[in-house]
Amino acid sequence: MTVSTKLVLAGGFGVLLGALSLEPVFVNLDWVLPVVLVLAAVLATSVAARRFRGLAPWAPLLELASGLVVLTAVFVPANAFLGVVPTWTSMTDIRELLGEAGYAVRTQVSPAQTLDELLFLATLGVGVVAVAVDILAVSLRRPAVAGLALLVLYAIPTAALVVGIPWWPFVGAAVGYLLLLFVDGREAMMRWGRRPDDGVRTPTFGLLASQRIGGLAIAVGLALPLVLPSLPAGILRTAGNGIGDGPGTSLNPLATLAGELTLPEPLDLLRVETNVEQPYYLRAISLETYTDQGWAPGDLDGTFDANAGDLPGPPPGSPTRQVQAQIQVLDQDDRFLPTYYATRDVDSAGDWRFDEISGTVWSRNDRTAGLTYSVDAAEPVPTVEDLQAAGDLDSEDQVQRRFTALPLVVRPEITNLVRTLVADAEGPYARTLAINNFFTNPANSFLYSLSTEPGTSGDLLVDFLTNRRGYCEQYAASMAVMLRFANVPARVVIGYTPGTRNAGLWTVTTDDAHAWVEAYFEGIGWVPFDPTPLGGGRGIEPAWAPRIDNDPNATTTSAASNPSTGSGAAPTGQLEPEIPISPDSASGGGTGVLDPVTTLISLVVVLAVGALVTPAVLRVAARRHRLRAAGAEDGILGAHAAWDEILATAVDLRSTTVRSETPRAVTRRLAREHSFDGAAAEAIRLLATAEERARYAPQAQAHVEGDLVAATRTVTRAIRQDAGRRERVRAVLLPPSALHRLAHDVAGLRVRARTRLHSMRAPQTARTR
Amino acid sequence: MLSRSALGDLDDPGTAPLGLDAVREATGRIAGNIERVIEGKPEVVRLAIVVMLAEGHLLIEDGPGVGKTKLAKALARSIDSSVRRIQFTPDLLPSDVTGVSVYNQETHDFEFKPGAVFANLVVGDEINRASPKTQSALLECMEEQQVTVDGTTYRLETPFMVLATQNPIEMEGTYPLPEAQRDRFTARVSMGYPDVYAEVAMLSGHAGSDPLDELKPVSSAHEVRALIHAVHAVHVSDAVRKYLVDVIHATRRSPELRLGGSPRSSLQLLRTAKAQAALAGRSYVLPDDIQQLAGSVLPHRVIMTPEAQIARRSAEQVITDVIRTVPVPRGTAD
Repeated sequence: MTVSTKLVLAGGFGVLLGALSLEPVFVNLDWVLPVVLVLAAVLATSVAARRFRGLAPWAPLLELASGLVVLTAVFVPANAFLGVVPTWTSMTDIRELLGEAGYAVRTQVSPAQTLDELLFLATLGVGVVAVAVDILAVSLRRPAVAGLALLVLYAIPTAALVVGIPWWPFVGAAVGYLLLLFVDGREAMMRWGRRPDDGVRTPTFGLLASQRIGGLAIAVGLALPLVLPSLPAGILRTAGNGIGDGPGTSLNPLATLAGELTLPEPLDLLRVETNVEQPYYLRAISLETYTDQGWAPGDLDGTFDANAGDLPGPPPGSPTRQVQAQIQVLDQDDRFLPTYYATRDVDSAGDWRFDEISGTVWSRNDRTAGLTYSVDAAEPVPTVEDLQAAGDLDSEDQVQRRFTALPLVVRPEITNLVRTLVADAEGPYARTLAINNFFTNPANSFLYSLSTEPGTSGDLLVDFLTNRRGYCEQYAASMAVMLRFANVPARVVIGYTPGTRNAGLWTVTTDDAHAWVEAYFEGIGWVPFDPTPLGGGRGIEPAWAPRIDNDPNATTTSAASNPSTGSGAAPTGQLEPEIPISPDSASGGGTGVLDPVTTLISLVVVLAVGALVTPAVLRVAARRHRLRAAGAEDGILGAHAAWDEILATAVDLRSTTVRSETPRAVTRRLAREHSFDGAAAEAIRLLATAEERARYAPQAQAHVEGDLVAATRTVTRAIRQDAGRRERVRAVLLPPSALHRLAHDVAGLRVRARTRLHSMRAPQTARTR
Repeated sequence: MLSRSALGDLDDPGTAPLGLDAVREATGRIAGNIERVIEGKPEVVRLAIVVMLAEGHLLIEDGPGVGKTKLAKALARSIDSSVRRIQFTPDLLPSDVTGVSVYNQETHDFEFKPGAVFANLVVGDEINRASPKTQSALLECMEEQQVTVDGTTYRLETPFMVLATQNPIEMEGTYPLPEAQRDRFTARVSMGYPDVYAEVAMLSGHAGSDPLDELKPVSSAHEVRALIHAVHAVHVSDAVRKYLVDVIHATRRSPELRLGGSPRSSLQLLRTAKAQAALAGRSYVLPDDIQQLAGSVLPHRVIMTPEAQIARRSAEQVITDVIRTVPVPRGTAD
């Protein structure tokens, strides 16, 4: 096996191990196959390309191409030529997939569903990292720097996971990295024939240095998580003691919800057959009491027998549509019967009671397990005009009093926020929409996440509105509180999103457990609003609460549909002065969102790119500086500068520098190694003499007549011409001379610091003596 | 022969220091003359001249019959100056070297009969065959350039150079020179066997008569004094001086050496470096000079550790490796 093949395989193994870090990011292992396929394609191309001399320089391009073919074959075969060859349309598909991936990244919570777009993103990322590692480790022979690319892989779970990161993805990446360094170190050793001498500095990172870098990286990586604060989950958790004891068995609806949503594998709960194309959410229970402990259900009334039919519904005359459903309970077991709003009739075994105020169907003795039942409901389908026409309820109204009740003290952060939001809104619907838009406007950077960050304000609600990270429970709870403060009767509803449709049947799983808000409008009844940014097509967007992030014209639409009250979403710009919103992002919607994940990833990428580019930039700057100095008046400094440039050029092209070499020795060696022609030999002799005199001759003789700049150019050109193309590219991208200089500077700083420390300590010792 | 005033010539304002071109021309002339006799060994010849200009002494070490004595003689003969040859034998007495006071019947007084060292060039053949007592008598003269007999001190003439030859110490009937005495020699050079062509040329050249007999002097003691004076003027920058000391210190730290270079070796390395710079027509010393000469000036002074000896490492190899660990200074001209 050739050395480059070994390096390619070691690098590929490193990327594969590094890709293990994707495991905690996704709910299942569907990502493995595409990732392995792309990796295999890239590696095979790399090995094959390096077999043929002429192809080797093009290896990275060929690898990218083969990776693209695999991505096309796996993800967008439909529009590809023969299912594999990318075409213009298949590339458009890929662009769309990327766009969806951007949305999914913002809305999905980790562990994420293995949606196609996310799989594509992950596979693409691993492929790009594999090519980057290949370029760095094999083409440029800088395996130590390839660690940066592997670090990008490791950064994915770091950025995506809020809960603790398992230790093994890191160990995987680290082992891969060490393997890479080991292969290169062995190769470097063999090239020398023996261990490099102390006095010999090689332009490669030696084996020892590699081990030191690797060891340091592991130490830092392991120590850092210990220092960083851990991030426990949980917010607005009310009476619950954290997560419930399983799906559907807890008495606390909120705990049940959290428990269902955090199941490692979703359970199928219900199978639903309805007469409508798209049913709205299934309700289980609504929470009507808000205290400083959070939301809780009110007392349930058992007057109505749900099976008796003709249950009290929305106000007469309100716009509704008839929804009938046959529901089969699979893995659910609860005291609340999931039904559609507003339930008019239930046909079910057992003693099920209907609570008029909360609209809940419940039972004292029976449970849902094993039931098959049917539901008749009159679903409210108000038009925007209906809602705009609705006025405020009388302040003495039973519903108004009951569903706007708040604790005596509400935090000023919330009250001020609500006041600002609804300042220009007239009518309860305009106020409701303004508050709803506050949550759904992407400019406000709300993020769906099953785990939440603890805040510092002492109030869970304020924490959520500050951190803007949470799941349906927090969204619904917050919005309901804000609605109540805005004098709109509101309650939190717990239930299920419609689920997934298959052959006319809707399957509802634990992943579909949800919480949302209902607001009461006079003459219409309870109307649902969902402030949670749900991904994967689970949420429903009613006509009366369009999501701003789905509609680029949402702001103008709502303003147009509500001309008397003005824009509902516009005030957010003035409301949150601490969040920089560019005019584009405020009006365009969806663009310019600064969520922490993207920020962190971009930061890592920027840092990595910066770290990669820095040596090259430093090198160019140093060359310009030296050539300018070489042409300047001062012959001594000029000679030094010109000579430094010659040495740096030689080092960049992997020529070995020995510290005990005199200018004459260097001249002899370079002329031999690079077979200089007459002009180059003449030029380097001039430079060596100039340097030698500048260094060692008496002042009077320190100057040499001659054009040092031209000589420098001649010699560096001769050295470069002699080198291979790969070496020249590497010399430009990752010049060892600049890396050494950096290392030298750091070492110099250390020495200076130590000397200073010493001088600071010295007077004290003198005194003690 | 007694010449206390000889030293005074150096400081004589009338003896203007020679220009570097003149130095190069003169030394080239001497070297060319010697090479007529010693074929194929230009670097040895050059080193001999360097040592002479550095006012040092040369130890020529090698097996019998490779031209040790011939080199010494050729150098001596190329310079029109006093030359004495001492064949060291076990029964040679110190007074044979230094000289002796004898009673003069006519003047009724003791009269000093100078020994063999009273010459500009003294060729000491097979120095390690003499008894240590006689060896040290010569070595004292070498170091101090003076002879003390019966309480009277006699200065030796300048130039004064001892070219001693020595058989390898493993040979029979030898008294190895102690390291303290080896230290007095500025440089040790090994003749080495001539290559095939040089040996063939030698056979054809030497067949009829001894070319040594035909060798004519091409220089004089006076000129050599002027050359030495010119060497004094060679510039040594602080950086180079520091580098030299770094090299000597490195030999003292080397794990392969039991005894590193002495301060005297620093001094002599510097002098030879200056001489070599002058020979090259350069008015300043380079680290290159020091690197080249260290291989001749240092190895006979250091003592290797038993481990290094067992590893069959030669002192020259060790010194070469030591030099590779010392960074060359890039100090600016001063």
